[in-house]
Amino acid sequence: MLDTYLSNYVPDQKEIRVFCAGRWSRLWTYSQSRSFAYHPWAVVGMLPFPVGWKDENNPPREAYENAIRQFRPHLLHLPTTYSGDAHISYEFIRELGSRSIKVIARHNETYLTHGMKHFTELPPLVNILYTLSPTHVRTLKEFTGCTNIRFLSTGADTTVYFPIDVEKQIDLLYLGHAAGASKSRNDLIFRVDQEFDDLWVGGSWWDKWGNLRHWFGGAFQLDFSEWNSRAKIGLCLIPDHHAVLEMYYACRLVNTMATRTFALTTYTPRLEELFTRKEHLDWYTTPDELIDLIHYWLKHDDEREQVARQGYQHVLKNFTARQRTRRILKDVGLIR
Amino acid sequence: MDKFMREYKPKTVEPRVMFLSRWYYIWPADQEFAYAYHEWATTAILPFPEEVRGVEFRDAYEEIISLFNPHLLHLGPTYYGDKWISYDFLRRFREHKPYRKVVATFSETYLKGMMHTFVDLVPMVDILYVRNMSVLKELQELTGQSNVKFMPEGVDIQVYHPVVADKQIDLLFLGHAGGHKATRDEVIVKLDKEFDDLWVGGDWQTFGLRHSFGGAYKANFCEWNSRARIGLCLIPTPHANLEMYCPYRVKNTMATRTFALVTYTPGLENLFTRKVHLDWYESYEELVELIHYWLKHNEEREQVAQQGYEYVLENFTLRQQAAQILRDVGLM
Repeated sequence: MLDTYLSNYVPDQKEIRVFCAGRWSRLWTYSQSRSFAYHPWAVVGMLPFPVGWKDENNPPREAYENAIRQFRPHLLHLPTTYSGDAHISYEFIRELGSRSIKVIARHNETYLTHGMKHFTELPPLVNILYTLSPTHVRTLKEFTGCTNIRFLSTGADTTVYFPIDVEKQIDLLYLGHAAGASKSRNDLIFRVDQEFDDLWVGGSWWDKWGNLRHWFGGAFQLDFSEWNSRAKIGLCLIPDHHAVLEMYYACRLVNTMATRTFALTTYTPRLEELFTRKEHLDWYTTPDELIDLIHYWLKHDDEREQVARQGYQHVLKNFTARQRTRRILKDVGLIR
Repeated sequence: MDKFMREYKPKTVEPRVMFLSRWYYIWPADQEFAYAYHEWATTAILPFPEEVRGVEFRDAYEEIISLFNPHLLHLGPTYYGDKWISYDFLRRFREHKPYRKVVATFSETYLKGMMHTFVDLVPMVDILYVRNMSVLKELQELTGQSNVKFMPEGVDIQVYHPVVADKQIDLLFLGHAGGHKATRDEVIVKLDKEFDDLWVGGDWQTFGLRHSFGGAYKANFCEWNSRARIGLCLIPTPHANLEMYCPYRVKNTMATRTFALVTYTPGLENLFTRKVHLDWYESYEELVELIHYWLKHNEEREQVAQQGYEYVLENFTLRQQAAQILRDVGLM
């Protein structure tokens, strides 16, 4: 007796080609990682665009567009690092649309607050613009009058972010840069550093804000997994101006959970629709609550590690980059 | 603190790797190799249209490579010589720039028609990786160069993985018919007469097989294998003589936790342990006997499938091979 899959089998009819056009930068590799998740279903072209191109007013746009033309994609994916008309021109995107080639874009909250206007210009040009928060869906819909804006939370690339079998050796870990726009988060890290002896911080520019006791520079990709796997608590702090966004979390959160590390994150409205508190992770709403929760979870090893395991399973089941790319391919009608 | 933490130094250099291949859905392993780099490097992949064999796009591709400015340029097994990325470009690419490396991986499939291309290529690359020892020896003899290395075919475990499903069919073969594979086609046709429950995926419509269902790649390859008791990994005669040759299909099948029954190639025992990770045959009669045996011994067969699966994960992933290449050229 054959099951439904075998009895209804239809052979693959056509190949799907997806082209991902991002910028390259070690700081943005996670963006690239997520785009690779198309490859179980599609032939992927990927051409990271130089950051800090020597002639910023004259980027090698034509060469890139020519490469995309030759690849003849069914889907062009503009990731969060897409930076507007100077990168891949609107005219070119229109040309693809006129040939029924699907174009989708991913919108990063960081850019909205910086006023990157291209995200408000993109909706009429692309099939779907995906955002990381329903708040942005509403804002962009109101602003553009377009309806093709959807919420799609970020997924972890489990080929890069995974558990490493090592002992827990540090209490607290935060991996992220001390950007000026994230001052509220930077201040909170310094407060945690004063309260707790064993906070380790990775990322750039922390020396510009003061002296942390354990600052070790950047840790990306596999180093992110190595550090997290040694930490009892992975701090996933969000600056205040992002903490108001509904259902928003930084990719740091799911990447941390994918390393089977207990994640303590900033609460954002409706986060409970994505994760169950004290089952997959824990969250705080005020700095004082964060301090209390750190004390609690450092004292309860077994309970903390159980939450970390459950969170890890939850991410593997529901928050992988692979699931996100599959959803996009389904949304634009390239797979069933 | 352990060694990792004590000696930790943030990485300051981000390697850039560019992988060039033709695109071709039915040969997914070609392209999938590239994705394995992305854990350590910013990776560009620019699959070349399968039907493009002229020089019309060569300049454009070379311009793109120059823009990306990779530390490592990897020419995939579909590289077909000067018409695609010119030899002149490859020479200039490395000239006076010692940090730039070029490697190529050479698949046996092109053995007859493409040997001259890879002979030409050896002096222009840092390392040429070949997938069997026979080609390694031949290339070393022809070129007198020592930068040819053996690297068995690897598996992309993001694509090839077990699917939870009941075993519903006895025998499965996924692969195409025709061309130089006539000896394999004959075996499939004979097996179809010998066994009622052989399912064959690929372009077998004209062979009059009882259960032929067209192509099954990537996710569908996993779905079909996970429902089969035995995954047949037959190798046509010309390739079965290649030393330590083991095509993608073998490891892809094992990565779906399916029992693999494989054509023996000389030295295969250096890669796998027989009846521990898989089983192999050397004649048609032996193949038939082994099928009967393994269909009757369910528990033993599934144990071998499990062991083979674990062995492939430990030893033959493309991730491990990408890391090996980066180490070989000094980028990791």
